[in-house]
Amino acid sequence: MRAAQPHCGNCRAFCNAAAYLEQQLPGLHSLSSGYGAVRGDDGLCAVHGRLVSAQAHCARHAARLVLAAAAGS
Amino acid sequence: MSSLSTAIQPGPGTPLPVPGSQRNGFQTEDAWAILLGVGLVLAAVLGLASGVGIKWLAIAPQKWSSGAEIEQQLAANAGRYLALFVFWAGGFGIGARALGIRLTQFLPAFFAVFVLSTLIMALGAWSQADHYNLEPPLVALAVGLLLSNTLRLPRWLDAGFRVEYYVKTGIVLLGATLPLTLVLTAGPVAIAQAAVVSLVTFGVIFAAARRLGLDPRFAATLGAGGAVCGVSAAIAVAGAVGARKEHGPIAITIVVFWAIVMIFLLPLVARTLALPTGVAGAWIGTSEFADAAGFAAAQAYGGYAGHVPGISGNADAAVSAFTLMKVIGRDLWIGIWAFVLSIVATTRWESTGVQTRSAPAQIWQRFPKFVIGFVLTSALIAVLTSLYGGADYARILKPEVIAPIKTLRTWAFTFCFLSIGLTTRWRELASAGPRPFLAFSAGVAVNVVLGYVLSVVVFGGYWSSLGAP
Repeated sequence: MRAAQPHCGNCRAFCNAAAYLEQQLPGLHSLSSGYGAVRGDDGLCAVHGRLVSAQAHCARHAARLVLAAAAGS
Repeated sequence: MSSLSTAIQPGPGTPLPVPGSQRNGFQTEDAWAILLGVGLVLAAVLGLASGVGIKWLAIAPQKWSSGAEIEQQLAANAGRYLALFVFWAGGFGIGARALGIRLTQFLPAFFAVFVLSTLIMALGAWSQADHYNLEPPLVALAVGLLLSNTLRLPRWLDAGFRVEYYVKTGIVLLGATLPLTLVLTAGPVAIAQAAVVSLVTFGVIFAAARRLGLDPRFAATLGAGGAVCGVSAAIAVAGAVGARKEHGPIAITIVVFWAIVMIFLLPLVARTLALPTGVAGAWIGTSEFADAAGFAAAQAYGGYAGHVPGISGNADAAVSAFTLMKVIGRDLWIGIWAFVLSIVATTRWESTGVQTRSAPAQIWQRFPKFVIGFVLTSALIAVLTSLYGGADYARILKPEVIAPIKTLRTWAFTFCFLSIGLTTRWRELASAGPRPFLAFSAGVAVNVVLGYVLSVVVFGGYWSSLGAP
């Protein structure tokens, strides 16, 4: 149900994959980890260039499904 | 602006998250550390009843004084070391696979970690190791730093250098060796001391950063890194307040720098002052910035007990006091810090264009769940201990259950200390710049002094009695 609502977690500009975060934040895996519980479901937003929660939202949301549909067409 | 141009372009092989999904518990290292640690303790307890315990598996180098002696010792136990490697590789490997880490990368890297750890532990068992100050945690860290900063290690090896995975597993195992009564009685003292230090440290770093003209979200990220649980806290708060992406790596660089410095500095100063092990452990727990780094310092200091004249207390007291201060006193509260700061960010700081939902649910979401495993193993052993009398505890439980768990814990921590060094490549860290460095360093100075006063002067009597019979 919530996947249909626009929020960072279903935005194409957002990524919170642990391996990706460790790649984008140098040193993260040295004394911490992208796989730890404390970061919750935070990820990186390519539009705003910020670390944000997957539950956040903004006016420039671009649904990830659009990308999937485009890729499939 | 084309919306396509803003799509994330992850590196090759980097999985994208499922749209709209949250991570489930099994997509965190915390869950796998709990499963492995609690599973091991359960196996030790059940083994006591069935007669097939984990004692055989818990092998480690014993004292030696000549090359031939250690060679013979390792050769005679080759089968047990092989079994131990298979056990750890399998245990950690299952979790790594579930987290999406490729086993073809994890296993070879872990093999290197295991072999190096065996050599480091063997060196620590050398009869002259004390004479040359070769404490295994510090040696592991130094060896890792040397290798990663002088050789160009392939990046895929990082798959096996999982600092947090190893330290969390070690902490869960540590619970079995820390009496639950101690956790319950010392917890409030640790929380009170940590609350004072955390609030003051955060305040100093935040105020200094703002005075130096830094963005409040960046200032909060730095402050959390110094006050709560290092890099993990910095990144958690950065996400909660919506900090700029480039501020994360800067905070990481500064925290890692000071954490590595403190690993060596705090035990050195405490040794010079001949602090009892419990007091030094509490000070390290108050003034170190990351769990993994702090355990290296506390375990190294604990190793001085009985070897360095003038240092009273036992080895366990340093690690116990550190754990109470750092894990119970500071780490547990990261969710509350993130929640409160997210409210401040949305209500008082300039908008970023991203609307954050400051829900209290994040207090649980960000809770360091491995602590549950720590409490579980402590409770499990407490129940078992209550079933045995004092004499049976010393005769049966200690050698058959507690000692093997301690040995396995030492392995997990050694993997961790080595991995800290192997992943700390100074050339790859972001350039910090003078202002954030100065702001954080102001907090470090206050934190170290205040931590000393609270650990040594205010609560010194309490911490020095820790672990006393």
